[in-house]
Amino acid sequence: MEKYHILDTLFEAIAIVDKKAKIVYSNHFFSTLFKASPRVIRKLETVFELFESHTPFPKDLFEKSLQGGDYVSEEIDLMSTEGDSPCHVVVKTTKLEDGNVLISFNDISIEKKLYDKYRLQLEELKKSHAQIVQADKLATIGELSAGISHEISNPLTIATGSMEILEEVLDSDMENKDEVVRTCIADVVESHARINSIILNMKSFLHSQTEEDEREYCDLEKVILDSIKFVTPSYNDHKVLLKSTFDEKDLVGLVNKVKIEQVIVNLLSNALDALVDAKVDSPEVQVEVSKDRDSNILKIRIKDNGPGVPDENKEQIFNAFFTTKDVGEGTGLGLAIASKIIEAHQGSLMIEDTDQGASFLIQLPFIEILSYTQNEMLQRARDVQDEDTLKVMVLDNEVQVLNILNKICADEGIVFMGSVNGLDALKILEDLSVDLIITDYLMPQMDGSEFSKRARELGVKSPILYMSAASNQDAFQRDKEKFNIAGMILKPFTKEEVIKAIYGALGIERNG
Amino acid sequence: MAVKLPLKSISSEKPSVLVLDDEDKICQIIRQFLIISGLFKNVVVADTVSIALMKIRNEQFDLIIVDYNLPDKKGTNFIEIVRKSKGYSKVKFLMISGFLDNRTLADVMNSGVKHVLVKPFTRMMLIKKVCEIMKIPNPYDKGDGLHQKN
Repeated sequence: MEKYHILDTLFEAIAIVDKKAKIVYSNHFFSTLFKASPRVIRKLETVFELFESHTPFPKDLFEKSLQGGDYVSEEIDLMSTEGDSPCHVVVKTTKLEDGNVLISFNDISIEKKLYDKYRLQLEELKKSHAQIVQADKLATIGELSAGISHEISNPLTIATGSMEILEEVLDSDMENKDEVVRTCIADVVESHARINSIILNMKSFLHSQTEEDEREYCDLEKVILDSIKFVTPSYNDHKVLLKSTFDEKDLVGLVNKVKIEQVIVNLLSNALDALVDAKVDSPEVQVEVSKDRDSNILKIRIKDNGPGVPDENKEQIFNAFFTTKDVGEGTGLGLAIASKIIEAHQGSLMIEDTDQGASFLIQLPFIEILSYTQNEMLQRARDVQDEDTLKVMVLDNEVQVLNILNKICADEGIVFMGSVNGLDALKILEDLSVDLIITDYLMPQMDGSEFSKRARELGVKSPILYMSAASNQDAFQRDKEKFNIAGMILKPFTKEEVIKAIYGALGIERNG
Repeated sequence: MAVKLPLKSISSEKPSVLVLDDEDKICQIIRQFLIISGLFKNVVVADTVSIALMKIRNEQFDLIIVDYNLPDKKGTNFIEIVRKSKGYSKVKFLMISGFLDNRTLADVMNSGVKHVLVKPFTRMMLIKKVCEIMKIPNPYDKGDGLHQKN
């Protein structure tokens, strides 16, 4: 029809149908796209007939439009009876003033092909990545095995050889039998010690911490507030509320600050994206940090009031490359990396079941336990006997003090256990014995005297040192007899003073 | 199982052997094993390549046992040098090594050494290998006792 002929200039396939769905007009592109000549089109009773029955035309859209209004379909594949391959399209129907319905077909076959190609390449990338990781592991194991086999073969040869000679010598009646026997035995003992140290070195290499993995005592409140500062601009842009609560003061973790911030920022960004995508009313994200004293776990919870994570995805979200975002929006690596980081901190990252929204929970062990196990492993890797290793507990609510003393003890080969809270420290002392306790005198929840009193009541026999500014000398004098306080370290202290005080306190114990 | 210690016999026919390993203790152990077997006239040890080369100039050896992993040179390098020395074109070599991977094995084979023993080895394994190389009977073969060399 004349009035429609301007539609011929368009790159979109258009068909105008009457109430009975018979085509009264179709543009050039319609013919091109569906490979239907005007003659074929004229012969159709309805527009639906042009398409294969197994690729159904959204008839309901047409019917709805007859009543009035515009309707758009989802992406569908339409196969023309005249065509040789389906077209990937979006269909829109509109009622025209003259009562006819205009159906336009937006051909996105090319986009779909590109998208499929992208997904395919992503799958291949995943496979390659997995292969590289595996090959790397094997290569490392291979290298290690070669190295160790080689190193161990010599002392092993000496040990087995010496044993064989020992057998010979015992059976014979040579002159200096005893001497030779002793030499053989000494050689075997030395060889075993050598092998032992090779294996310890290997262990320490495997567990060796690179600079990236270095951990410090950090005030978690500061870590979280810094992470929040990082995402605040985006939160403000989208007018999403971000709150944080801390159920205690002095929430301290033994963590790599940069890495933990990375995790928190990742979780906060995910929450923001979920809320924005779902267009939630009054979107809100909460960060809660708490201490569970029953299970000795530090909990960091990040929850939002968005649509939440569907049950079927809950298992997969921590897998590498899993993403529900659109092409180009996300790699799917964030949570996988976050999960690995938390695992490396001997903690866990998981998603909790909630009625509404998503809630991610990070759990970290208490610093007392974490610092003990970590330092214990380090000392063991240095081939030091258990009995000789000193274990010192330090109680101070300032993280800088803990970090400095941690370093001093590590350099001396002393296993260090840090704590910021008297209650937590006492709890640990119920199960673990230490050689020495150093406690700050002035702490907010429990001062040095109160701590010492309770420790002695618990039956803790280890010597206790007070650490404080000179003004607390009287407390020391008073408690010296009452709670058996072995000495005092004045703040500010030097490394030498601390070492002297530690060995001094232990020396006194041994003599007395 | 007690092994009969060999009788001291006239040793002019017996071959001489040089042992080169950077671990002196290993040299001593190998030396002990070889002496007890009675197969050799002379067992000489060296723990560096220079000392080994010196010993070679002083005395003719029929068999050289050398470790692959020497600190200054690879065992195979040492073998090349020896082969070029006067009168040593026919000497037999036994290579000992702590770890044999493809690369090491290829290197050893390329240097013309056919016999390799991997550490740790027992006395029996060593003697068996040595007898194979020198084509002499193994004194520890079951029930045969000592054999005279042909």
